[in-house]
Amino acid sequence: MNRRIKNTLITLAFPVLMFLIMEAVCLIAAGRHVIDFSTNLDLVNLVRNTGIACAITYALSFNLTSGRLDLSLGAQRLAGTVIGSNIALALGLSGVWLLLFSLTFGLVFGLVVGLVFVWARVPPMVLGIGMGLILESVVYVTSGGVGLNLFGVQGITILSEAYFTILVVAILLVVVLYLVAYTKFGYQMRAIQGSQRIAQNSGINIFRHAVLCYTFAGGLVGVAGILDAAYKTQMAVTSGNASSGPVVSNTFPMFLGIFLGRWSNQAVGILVATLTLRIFAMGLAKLQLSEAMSNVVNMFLYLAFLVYLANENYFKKRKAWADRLVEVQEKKSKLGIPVEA
Amino acid sequence: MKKIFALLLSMAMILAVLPLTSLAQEKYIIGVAFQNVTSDTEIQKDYYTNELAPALGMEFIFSEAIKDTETLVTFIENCYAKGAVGIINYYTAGRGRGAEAADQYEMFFITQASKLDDATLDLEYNLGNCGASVDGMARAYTAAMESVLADGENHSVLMCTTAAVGQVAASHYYSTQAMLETMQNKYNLTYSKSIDEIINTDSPGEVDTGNPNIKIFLVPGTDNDKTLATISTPLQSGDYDIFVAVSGYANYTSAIAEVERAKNMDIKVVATASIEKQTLTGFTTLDPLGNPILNAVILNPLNVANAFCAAAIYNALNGGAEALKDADGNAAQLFVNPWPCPDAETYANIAKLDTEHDTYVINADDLQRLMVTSNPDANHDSYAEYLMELADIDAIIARKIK
Amino acid sequence: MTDVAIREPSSLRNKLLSVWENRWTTRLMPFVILLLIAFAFSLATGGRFLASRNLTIILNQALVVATVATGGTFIFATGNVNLAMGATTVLCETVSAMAFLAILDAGGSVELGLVVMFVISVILAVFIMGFSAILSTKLNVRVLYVTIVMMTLLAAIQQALLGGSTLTIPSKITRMLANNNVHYIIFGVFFAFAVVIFHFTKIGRTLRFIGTNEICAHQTGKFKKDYLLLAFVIGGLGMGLGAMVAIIRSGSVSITTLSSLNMDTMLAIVLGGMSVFGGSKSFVYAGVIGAVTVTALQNGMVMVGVDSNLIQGVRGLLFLLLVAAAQKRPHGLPAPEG
Repeated sequence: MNRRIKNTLITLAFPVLMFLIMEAVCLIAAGRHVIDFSTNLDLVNLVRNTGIACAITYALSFNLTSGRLDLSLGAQRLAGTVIGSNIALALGLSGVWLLLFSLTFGLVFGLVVGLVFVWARVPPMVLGIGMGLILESVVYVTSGGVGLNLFGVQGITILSEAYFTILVVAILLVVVLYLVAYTKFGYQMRAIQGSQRIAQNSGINIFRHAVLCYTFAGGLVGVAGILDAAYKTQMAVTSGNASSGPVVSNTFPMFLGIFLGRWSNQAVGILVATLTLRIFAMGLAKLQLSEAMSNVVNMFLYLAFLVYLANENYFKKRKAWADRLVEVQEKKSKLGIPVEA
Repeated sequence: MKKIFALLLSMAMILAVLPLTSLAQEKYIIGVAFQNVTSDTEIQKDYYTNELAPALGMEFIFSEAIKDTETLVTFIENCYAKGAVGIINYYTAGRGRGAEAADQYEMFFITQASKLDDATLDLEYNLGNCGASVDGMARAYTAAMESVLADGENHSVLMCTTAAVGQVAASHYYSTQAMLETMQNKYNLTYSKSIDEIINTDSPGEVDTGNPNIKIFLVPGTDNDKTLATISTPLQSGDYDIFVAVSGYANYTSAIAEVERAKNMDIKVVATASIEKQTLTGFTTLDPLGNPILNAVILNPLNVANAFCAAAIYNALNGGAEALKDADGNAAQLFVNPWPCPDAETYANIAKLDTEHDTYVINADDLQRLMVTSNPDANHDSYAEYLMELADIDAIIARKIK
Repeated sequence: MTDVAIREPSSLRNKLLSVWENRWTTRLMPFVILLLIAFAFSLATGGRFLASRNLTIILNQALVVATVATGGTFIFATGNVNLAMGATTVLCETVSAMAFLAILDAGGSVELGLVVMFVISVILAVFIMGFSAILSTKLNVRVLYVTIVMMTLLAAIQQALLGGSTLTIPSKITRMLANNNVHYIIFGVFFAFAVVIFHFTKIGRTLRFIGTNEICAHQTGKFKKDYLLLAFVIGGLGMGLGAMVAIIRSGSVSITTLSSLNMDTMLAIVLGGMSVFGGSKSFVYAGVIGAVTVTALQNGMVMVGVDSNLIQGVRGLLFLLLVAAAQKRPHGLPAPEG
């Protein structure tokens, strides 16, 4: 079979399989469908949640794959969305303008964090904690403790519409795919992922690259933030780096997406992985498990996946090792060297 | 160079946050421990700073969001270090330990809660509670439910009970209890468990009502985002045409609107709210079916409890601590009655309250009635009596809004 | 053939740099920063900041973070980051409090309840951390990823156990423990144990060696798999004991208890002068100094009247500046020293 078709089928198999499994579980355990096609509500929910999670996962992938866990990503999301959208509202703008302003301010705050990282050169996790605290405080002060309130604001319904979310995700997919696979930026990213020192010695400006990664990540979480806020009609201020929760929980789709990217590419893989896990989460919700139990199930699945990922070549390696031993023993016996039992 | 610069800059910052003016010795320093920091918080801070502080000769220190008892105790200790003499506490779950910590440092302590902590009633510096009246909330929710059920049709209800489990917030518990009893009486329901057991179930789920045409779904939990995810499934089934929240509701309006549009059904909304722009928006914004988003609201008078708490501490500092206790000399409970608000017109008048000195429900002039220095008869009973008077919203509007 | 000493131009800048990057400067910088902070706030508060009662308050507030951070330094020394410290501590606090209350309800004595509470807390923490280490050492999952999963998993388990309720230990018991300085004893004994192990035994040296260069350590016969498990076990001990200190201090536990403990612990370790990448510049006292510094900052800012809206932002900014000042700036982006 054509390799491309085979890879496409394998990629699509994941969400389809997940749907089939959860459909069977939900029907047997709760007498419900995982997606109720009699109305479009479940589909709209699925599209919306997938879009939001996908944007955050793309953002995570820019830094985490280079060994930088940015704990301020949640605060950048908060700052970009709240400050950007409040400015847009103050200018009398609404609808798509909120998205554009959130994106812009997300980029700005990402750039700030990146520049601080390159200037201070403190470890990324440490930087993330510090910048997270600062950004949350900035959001509180600039919004008067209100955060972003979209309740009753006209024109924001479009931001919750399924077709609009699909359009946004499609644009993000194309942009991320292009950046990562077809530009120098992408090549540099892969080089730095291999070894930062070698990449730097071979002439890559790792500082500029890091700043760009932080900037793009900030913009992406700004988009995710406004899509989320539009549905919930608000985004409240947080403190104590509580904003990092929704971001850290998206590391699972990121790892799964990188894994799935073997059959396509990282950008497509992340989208498919996010969709797969959202279907899983929907299924758990249909089973009416408590939130705690859902998290427990989710985390065990995550752990199992990480164990598999770390050991997927285990049996291959063992077989290769055993074959090598046999080969050595045959060689020794040909050469007349005594073979140990 | 950069390291030296960074060190110098941090030292300069530390010195730069020093206060520009020194504290006048005669001001009482009072710590205010907020449980949540929301848009309401700024409204309350303004009231504390601009109205209560000058009238009572106090300076208020405000906390960040208090998420656990450890943070509350830390805040109390830091306030003590600053020279505070009293604490107004909003973190209900920590009221016992907080009262002990405050008592240890000889600071007067009062909590905005509806249920006393039995273990600390006899502490000298514990002034008790001033919180939402559980009876008042129950009555208000009963009236609201009866109004939405008045058409004689079968209705099913989705309830967000927030902190009702274990009576973490007693008002939430009693509000939920009132609604379950109203439904039970209206439709002759036979619950398979006691109402107390139903409310104290940790996980969300459908209540066995004994009537397949009447459904009740309870969703406990204080995290709005998680509650939103939980209510999606039952809401989208289209089985529930009444949505009730014992706290905020704005988070759920989009989800409700989507279901109304998809199922072409009207979902009535009843919730607790404060006097703020969002509540007016709820009454004046129409849902996809052309009805107001909000059908009935139970208003918490935002600053009434604040005034009583601050005045109680003032009196305690001026020798009136015993007058605030009950007959046995223990910490006592004061109840603030909510204001039922069935429509936009009623709210339009209420919204004019608490915006400036003249319209504050309790302004500096009204405070005199609560202060022992101007009213030597001020005690627990007179406080309770004044709070009963404040339950009459029409009288307040007539007095304050000209 | 004589060695020709290569002489760098002796400029003031180079002399200052050599002092600045001297290892003793690196070791002492966190103490200097703490003293400067104490001095500044003392100046601003007319000496009230340094009153013995306030210093006791600061020490009490810092104790939980200091205990957990002391154990955490063993893990950080190997160049690994543990994001599940807070969740582990809180789960141990929850389970041990449940056990204690169950024993009291069943008519058991307070002493039995306390012993059981203590034992369960320590064993559970050691078990959780040991399990995390085994996932990494035997199943080859990266430590960071394991701890990300454990962070959420443990919080979910705690939520499933507690629901919306709050467990409260009777205050007379926590007061009795506090009056008998049990929390100080727990911290003191554990700190002494940690100092000896970390700085005076092969275990500590090996952990730092692994953090400096894992490959060199491996080729010298110091296998990461063995020592990482040990580091996590000692770290778990710190978390179990930290849970006890937290119970003595606050006497209650809910699902929001110590929600920022992990962040505070990492802040403390880094502010105490230790590198997140571990290695040779790891000191077991870093957690304690950092915890006291963070607490002193918070306490001082409230005392001088910093607006509560700004406290968090100021804390974050000061933290970044102090970390930037205290650590050697790498030529490239931050990476392990080996």
